[in-house]
Amino acid sequence: MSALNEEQVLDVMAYADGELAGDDEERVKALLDGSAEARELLASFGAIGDGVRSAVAPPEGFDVVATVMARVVPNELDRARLKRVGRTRMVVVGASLLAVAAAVALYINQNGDAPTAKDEPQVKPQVVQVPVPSETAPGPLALSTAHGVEVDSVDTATQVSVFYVPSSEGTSENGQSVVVWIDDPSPGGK
Amino acid sequence: MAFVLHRRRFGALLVLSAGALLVGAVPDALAQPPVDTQTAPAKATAELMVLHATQTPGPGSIDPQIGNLPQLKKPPFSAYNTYKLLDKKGLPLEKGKPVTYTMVNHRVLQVTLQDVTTDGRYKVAAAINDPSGGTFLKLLEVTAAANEPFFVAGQSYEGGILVIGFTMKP
Repeated sequence: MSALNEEQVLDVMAYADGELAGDDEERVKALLDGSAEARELLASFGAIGDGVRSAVAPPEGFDVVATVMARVVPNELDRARLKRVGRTRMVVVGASLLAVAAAVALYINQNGDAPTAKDEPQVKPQVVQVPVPSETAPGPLALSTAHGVEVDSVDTATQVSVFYVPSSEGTSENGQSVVVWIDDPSPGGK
Repeated sequence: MAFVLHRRRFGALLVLSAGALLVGAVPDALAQPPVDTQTAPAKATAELMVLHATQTPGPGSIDPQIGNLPQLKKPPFSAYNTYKLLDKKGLPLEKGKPVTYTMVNHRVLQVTLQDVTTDGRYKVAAAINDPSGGTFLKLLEVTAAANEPFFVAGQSYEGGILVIGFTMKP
């Protein structure tokens, strides 16, 4: 028996895999008829294939669907459980924040820390007017605040100025009072 | 696992209960009156002084009837060196009820006590209308503490101006 060349080995392998037809298949069959070595090679391919199939083949009575479901369903249950635990945690965190906010609001209210008009500083930004040097009309409208007196609004058709006047030696307890000076266009002046 | 879940559920309920108790307590706290406003009745008296300010030769003078008003020696009042008291009057005010006063120039001063603030100050509105139908001062709104004078000045009158001093009294 002569040794098989490379082309013949490949042909036997292709035949074993069922890849040959027609003349190629007939040629390999003729080779197998006349070559014990070729038949042994073919038989070895079959033995390898059987071994592989037996190695990966599921055992008798193996249920693929049952096995897959057995692995999938517990995971789904775990995920559902995790979601529920997550929701529980969110509820706990939300309730905690709510309780803290309520406690802070109660504390602030009971301790009177909320700002009130009384708590506001009495000294507010003031518009300091340049003193009127003569009898000329005062400047444009300006709102002024003073200790104890605050001009909220002035509405007049003519020019108006608001001054604060210190009265350190006077009747004002806080040392200043407010003057609303309105320009009078009507006759009757000096 | 079940024990852990039950314990967490119990903790959540405990926190929720505490929060609900606190939230329920807040409106009660907020419902408390912030400041005792009863100490500041919605009544007051506006003491008016109508002054005539003129510029006269010499050092000028301040009517002794005016009393101690050092403001008159300071700007902008120092633009005039002579002050004479024309009238002095107390206007009893009630919240929301305007009171009128006819001045020497026949204009009508209207004063209204708008409110008394929680710190005892008076929100006062004033307007000065002309009998001819015109308006000299449409509206002036002031918040003033008791005994703290404020002034409205500038009306032309007999060679000078009128100065109206307001002092709110309880």
